Amino acid sequence: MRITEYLTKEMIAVDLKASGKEEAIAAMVDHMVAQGGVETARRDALKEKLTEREALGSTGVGGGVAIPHASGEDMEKMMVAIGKFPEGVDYKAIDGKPVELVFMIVGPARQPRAHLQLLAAIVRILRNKSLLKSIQESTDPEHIYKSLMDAER
Amino acid sequence: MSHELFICVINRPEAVEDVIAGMLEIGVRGCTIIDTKGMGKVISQDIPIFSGFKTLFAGARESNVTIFSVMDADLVDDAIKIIEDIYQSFSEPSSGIAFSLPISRVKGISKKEPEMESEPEPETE
Repeated sequence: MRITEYLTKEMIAVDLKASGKEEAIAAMVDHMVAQGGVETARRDALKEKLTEREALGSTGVGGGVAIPHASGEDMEKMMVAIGKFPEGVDYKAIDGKPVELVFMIVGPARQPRAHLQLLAAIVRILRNKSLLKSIQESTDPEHIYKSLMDAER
Repeated sequence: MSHELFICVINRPEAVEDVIAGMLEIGVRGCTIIDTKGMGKVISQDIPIFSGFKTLFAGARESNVTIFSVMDADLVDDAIKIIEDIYQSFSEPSSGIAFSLPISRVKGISKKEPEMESEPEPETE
């Protein structure tokens, strides 16, 4: 599954700020709403779903990366957003390190398998160390998007 | 004689003895039995990032048993039938899976029937 099929350049934010996990999730959702990816009316419910998922265990997978994900009954389509937090977020990641790079997945509850496939695709592509470094060092959404496109070719 | 590799993942530990007895009954000469674990258990317990999806693998067991056996191709249908008889059906979610693959080369299968050890003759005075 190609991540770039569910990601647009507009869904990449490179200068977000948050002091903790909930604020980081809120900042990402707010960005998706601002870019028209999520309807304003769904904002709070989505934040709640994402926070509920974190209660199962942190999606901070280590190495400064987190992959929060949630589905909603009324979500229309699967989408990915990328957020960079240059100052780091206390995300309660599994390695205890601050998170600077967030991949967020949201989608309809009726497509759990596709959701899992997309999550697995992100987990897999982040094993590509040179790609990860390129994304971590970039401050340009266009460059991040192109790096992912190149990696998925 | 052609051979096939028969593979069966048994998700019901209580059925393993019956499956092995059934394999012996149809004439399977040997098999390798490995304690294994399914994807559902691994993704829900060992890889935390996927833990939100454990309901997709409802019915996944803590562990299962995988049986490998290189057998005469003629026996494969019987092997599947005997497992279906024991299981009643493979249609229930996460009950298990059985399949076979053709083998192009095989070494190590004895054509000679091993002899049963005979009881020692009682010693006579």
